[in-house]
Amino acid sequence: MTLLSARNLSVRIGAAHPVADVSFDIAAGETFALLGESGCGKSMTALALMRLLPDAARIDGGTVTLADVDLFALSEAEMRRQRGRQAAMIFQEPATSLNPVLTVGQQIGESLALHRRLRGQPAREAGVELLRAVGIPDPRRRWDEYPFQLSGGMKQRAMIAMALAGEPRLLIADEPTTALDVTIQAQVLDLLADLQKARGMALLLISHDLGVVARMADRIGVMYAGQLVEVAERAAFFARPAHPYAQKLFAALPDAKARNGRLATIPGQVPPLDTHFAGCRFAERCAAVMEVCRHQPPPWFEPVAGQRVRCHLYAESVVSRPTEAAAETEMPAVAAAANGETILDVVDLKVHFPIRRGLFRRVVGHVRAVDGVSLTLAPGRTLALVGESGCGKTTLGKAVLQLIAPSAGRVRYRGVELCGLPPKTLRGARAGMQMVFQDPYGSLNPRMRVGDIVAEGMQALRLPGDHRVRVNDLLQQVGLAAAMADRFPHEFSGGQRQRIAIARALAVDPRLLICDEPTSALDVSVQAQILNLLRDLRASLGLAYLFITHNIAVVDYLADEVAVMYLGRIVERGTAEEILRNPRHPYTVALIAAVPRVDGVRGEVLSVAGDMPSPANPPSGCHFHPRCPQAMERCRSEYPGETGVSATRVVRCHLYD
Amino acid sequence: MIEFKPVLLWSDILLFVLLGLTLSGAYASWRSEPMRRQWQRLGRNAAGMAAAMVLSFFIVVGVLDSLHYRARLPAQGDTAPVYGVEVLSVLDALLMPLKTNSEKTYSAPLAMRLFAKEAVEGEVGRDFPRLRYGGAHLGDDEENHGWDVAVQVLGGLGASMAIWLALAWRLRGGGPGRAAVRWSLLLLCLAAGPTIALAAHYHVLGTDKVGQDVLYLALKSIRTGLLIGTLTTLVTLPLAVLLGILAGYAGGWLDDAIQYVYTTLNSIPGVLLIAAAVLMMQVVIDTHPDWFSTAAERADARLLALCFILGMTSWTGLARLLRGETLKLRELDYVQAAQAFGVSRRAIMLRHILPNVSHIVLIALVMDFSSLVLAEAVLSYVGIGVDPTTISFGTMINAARMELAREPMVWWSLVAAFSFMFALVLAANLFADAVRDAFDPRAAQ
Repeated sequence: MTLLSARNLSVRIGAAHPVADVSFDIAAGETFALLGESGCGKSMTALALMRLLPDAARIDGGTVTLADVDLFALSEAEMRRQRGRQAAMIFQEPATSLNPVLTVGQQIGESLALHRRLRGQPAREAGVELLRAVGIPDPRRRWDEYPFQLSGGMKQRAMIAMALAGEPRLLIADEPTTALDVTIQAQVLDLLADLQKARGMALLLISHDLGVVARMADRIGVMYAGQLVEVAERAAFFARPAHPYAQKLFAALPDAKARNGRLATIPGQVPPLDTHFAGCRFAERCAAVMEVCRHQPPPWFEPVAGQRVRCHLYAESVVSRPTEAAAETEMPAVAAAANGETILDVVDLKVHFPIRRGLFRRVVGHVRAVDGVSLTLAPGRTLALVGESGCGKTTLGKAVLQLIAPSAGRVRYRGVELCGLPPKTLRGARAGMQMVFQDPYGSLNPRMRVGDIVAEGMQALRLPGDHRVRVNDLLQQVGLAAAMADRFPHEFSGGQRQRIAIARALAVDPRLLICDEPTSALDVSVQAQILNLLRDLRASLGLAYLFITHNIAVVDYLADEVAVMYLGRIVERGTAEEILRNPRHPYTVALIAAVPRVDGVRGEVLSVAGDMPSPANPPSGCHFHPRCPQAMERCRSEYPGETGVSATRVVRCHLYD
Repeated sequence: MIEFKPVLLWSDILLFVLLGLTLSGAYASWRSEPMRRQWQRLGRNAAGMAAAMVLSFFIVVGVLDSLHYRARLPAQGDTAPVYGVEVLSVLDALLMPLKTNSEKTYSAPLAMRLFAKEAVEGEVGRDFPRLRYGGAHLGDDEENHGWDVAVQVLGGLGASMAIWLALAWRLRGGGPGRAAVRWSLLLLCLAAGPTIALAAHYHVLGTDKVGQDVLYLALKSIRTGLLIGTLTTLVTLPLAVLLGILAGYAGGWLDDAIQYVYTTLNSIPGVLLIAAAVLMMQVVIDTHPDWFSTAAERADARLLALCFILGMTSWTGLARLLRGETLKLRELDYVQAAQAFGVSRRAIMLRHILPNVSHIVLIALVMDFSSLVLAEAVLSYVGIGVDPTTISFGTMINAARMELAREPMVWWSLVAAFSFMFALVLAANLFADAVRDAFDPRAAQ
């Protein structure tokens, strides 16, 4: 039975059409996923369904029927009764979608009073029941707590409880797990799937993550530039995506298979939405573009039953169809330094931030952000530092660079001790190590020209040579035009900005690049470009990377060695092959199992419960024992020492003592 | 043969320095592209451009009033040229008839006779004496007074419309900003034309207690208001920017010290602090009469001292704002990237922090301006403001205190001071809003 049916839905903002002619159906109990990169109109579609569009946007045509009610024919007052009762929505950022000055109970109670006319004690009972249903432990206590007392995953659960309070028949989830860590993401996705099964809800899932979609969806709609370009059953779609854009998305995913090659990229950028499209919207960037694509919009074709695609390639007259693009070119394997030379040697590094309280700002404790980490890195090698947010990996990166003063331990760069060097002497050592930051929008000074940004390091270190010439060379090296040096950062896209940031780091000719999640703010196709660039640079310049990330697929593609970090300490260290194929530490096992896989196969059932404890007050003994399914008595009292499992591999776990 | 000797008062020098800085700052920001786009956004704001037109009228009057000189006295024999002790300005020269045509005492706007009855020579009893200058061209033909006023107004309107049409033709086309400029010019012309036409023969806004033309006083007050509003920023700006950014970026004991200074300063009641400082300064000035060669110089010194004192007490708000913003900026990745290059602290503050807080500085300056103009009026009213000989809105309002107690009431001084100050402050506020809209990065999205 069709619950929601959207027909020819269009949304207009001024001259732009962020949603153009979108039609799809969702049956009761079904999960339909809208998949697409940022700016493709998937969130706008969801808001249009709920009639919650921003003021500037208006619905330009089409109909939406929800349980046989034409939503666009309702008055605003009638529509308000539909929202929450028939269709509810959960948003991406749990931190901002709960009101910080109201308790969880007040916020869920509001919804209960509105839709189920429950107040007082009955509302409380029903609300506590909801909190229990979304897996919040100790729901009676949580009912009276404020959002700041909950962790990110808990907030998202509370948000889901709020959405469920009206017992909706359709739940719209807009990137529900994008802001969460993988282990928490796995918990929340499990919860959504269970709730959907138990309540027979329809779920409209909006995501950019192929893995999440593979895990959750029954059917998938791929959006590009405001249009649906492919609608298919999950199995058919993941077995053989039909639209060239969808094929490219798969090819751009980093994984171990692509290790020795470049990732496929999509040339060009998503066209601005106010473009007038004569033909196919993807034509400009499509590898298989034909003459007809440029001036005739493609109709829907159905090459396989249950898989519809909007592409001229599937017209009867076209014979040659593209197959999935393989990795583009082979790359020379990097000659690893085998002579035992080390470029970076970190020994027992600690960064403790004091917690001060009271009138005299007395130190009452420490946040142990990094608590005794040892690493070595050889020239030309890539060490991936993996862990969830809050585990201290970024702090470690900054402490290695001496941007944060370490509390104890040693950092040696090519045998030179960096800790405790006076600023003047340290400046000389600065050139050797540079950093690429996570957020390409925050890492470039908006008031400086690109040329000045790139040249800043050379000026600061007073490097010889003509800086202008060098800037032009660098911009070309990272795949930008030299003429771009006179422009300002706001004129560039996220991927281009990240290239500028890389050029800035390369300007001082470093041997070691610390990359702090350089691709996590980028779309998949752009991420592939940046990863290719980092690979090329490693091959041509022999750079060593300390690659900080939570994205296991990127690790698989790029890293030689992996160190897994939990609560300020490294729990497992070894080669990428060892760690990713055969994880030993229970945390590593859980982390890798929690990553949603594109082939839809679920990993080990072993998923960790709960949240990461605070580094200000770590659990006694092994930090992981409260979440560890294999915890023993000994784990509660004593932190495990290092155990060498193989020549290259070290685990800190009592299981392997 | 030089007919005058230019005089540069300290406040003139500072005003021109400030003007030069503003112009070169505007030129520099026009060359930086992100700033230029923000200025262009300001240019499209109708209310902001209309306010800018009104403000520029006030600025022109203020600048004309800051070009000072001493006129040459008629030569007596072959002696070296002697110059008058009175310091005049170009504005005075332009308004000379208004300045010199004083009546005996109060007269209502556009009146032909005094406001108070006096014994008139050659008549029995008391009557309202005829004004010396107001409507003098009509002679005894007092019946035609209303007719004459109407003719003057119409003539003024006609001339101003002709000028406006010519200007509007030059400024045709363009967006909403340009249209707003045209319409605000029309309003200015409509107000100025009849006023100029009438001022030739009447006291448009009446006369005050000693018979001075109130329109002249109001126009002279503009310079004082502008000086207080702008010169004070010469004191606040370096303090606020330097200390605010330093506290935010350096942190540690420096931050503690700077915070301590401004919280202490903030917790002393402002008026008390200003009153104490002004009284001390007055004593210093009065005990050193030899420092000043003319009365104008002494009044000027007092005005500058007031600016200084106001500046010393009003930098804390901006400094606090800048400290907060710097705390945010210094955690941003581009600052950390610069630190990773070993860029010195000073260079980071100059290159990365200062340009990125400049919008806050600009917005705060324009918004402070109106509150400073009002502060001058309040302080002069309380008697701790500018020198009593300096013409300012505050001194006019202070005088109006007695006038309102008269029966019948003398209202025009207060109304004139009020409406001029209202126009100035309203224009400044509207302009400040437009500047904030154009330069606030959050509004840009």
